[in-house]
Amino acid sequence: MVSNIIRLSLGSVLFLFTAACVNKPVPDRNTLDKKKVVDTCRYYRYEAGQVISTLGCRNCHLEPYMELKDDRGWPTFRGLANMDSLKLIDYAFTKKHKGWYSKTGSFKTARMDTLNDCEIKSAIRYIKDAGRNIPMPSQ
Amino acid sequence: MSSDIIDFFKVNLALLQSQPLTGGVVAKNLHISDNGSGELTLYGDFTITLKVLDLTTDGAPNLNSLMTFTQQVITSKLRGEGYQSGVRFLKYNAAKNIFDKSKSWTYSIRYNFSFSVNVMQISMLSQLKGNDFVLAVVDDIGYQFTDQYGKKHYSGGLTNGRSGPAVVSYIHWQKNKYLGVHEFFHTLGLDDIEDHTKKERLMYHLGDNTGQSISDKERGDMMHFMITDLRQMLKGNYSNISNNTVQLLRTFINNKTNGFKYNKAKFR
Repeated sequence: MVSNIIRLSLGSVLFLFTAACVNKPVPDRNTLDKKKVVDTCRYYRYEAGQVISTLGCRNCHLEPYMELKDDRGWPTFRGLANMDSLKLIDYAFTKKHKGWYSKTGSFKTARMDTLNDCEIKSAIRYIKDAGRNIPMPSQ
Repeated sequence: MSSDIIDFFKVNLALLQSQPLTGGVVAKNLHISDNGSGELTLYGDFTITLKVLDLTTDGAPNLNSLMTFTQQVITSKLRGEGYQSGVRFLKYNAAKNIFDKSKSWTYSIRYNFSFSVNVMQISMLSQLKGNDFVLAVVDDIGYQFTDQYGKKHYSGGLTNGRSGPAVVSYIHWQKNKYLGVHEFFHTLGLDDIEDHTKKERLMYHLGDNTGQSISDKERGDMMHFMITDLRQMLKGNYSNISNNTVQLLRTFINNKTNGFKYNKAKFR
């Protein structure tokens, strides 16, 4: 009788031990992966130049003037390059341009807010590079 | 802008005295035609001058033939209409021949410009004027660049940004006759292409080109760059702004990071 009880107890312990091991909590890999952010945005000068060309920035922000502002008081392309990046984003993409590029503006078909973050980042770098005198090489 | 006023007087004084206008871009008979439904056609007769300065140590025996080739290719690439769509600018008032500062408009622009291209050799810096375009020919260029795929390349040519002076290595120019045109089109505002699917384009710059084509948009971009400010179209005549090419070239050539090898005695 006693040995039966001991056997039953040992069996229960063994079962519980096995069950505990089998149900060991596994780290939630998916949750961890979701926290990782990979920067897929790469700067391609040509593509950034196409964004600038399509937006038509140089129609008003004249290049290659050495001055920072033109006779109308508008920033030249060099003037844009001379701006701090945050000011440039604010100037170009957020508040300025008299609302011409907003949903109801006269340039609504070319709304700047249709650009994705990477395109905006690239456009800003392209403009900043215009003031850095970077040579254009060819093989 | 005071320099604008001075340029305006220079251009008109030269015309009154029937003197030829100087500079990289000289335009006459500029006018605009508005079809009334969002399309402007720009007309003008342009003379483009590119001055070639030989700075090689042992001379460049094939320079004349390379210059002739370059002149022919530039002429043929600029021939034909340039086109830009979705050009956002001030509204054109045809009756008053002004761009209305208070109204904006989106236009399609047809550039109906005719071009006469001169590629001429100069032997000294004093033959270079403020707003000329220049292509300096050197022995070699030490500058290396890394493409978007991470591969390093030597440079056969190097241009100091839009409107800036261009430099080519004579050895590389002989191997790739289009190098001078490629560099000059940087001066006229075009960017390099590195996309392997666009090897047929002149502005593809990784050395294994399969062609030398220019797109209508690139042609339109160059023509827009040449006029710089659409308001210039209202003045009838135009010569590109003075950028002090001599000083730009001097700084560019002497910049050690560019690694130009050339005959310093010729740079005078």
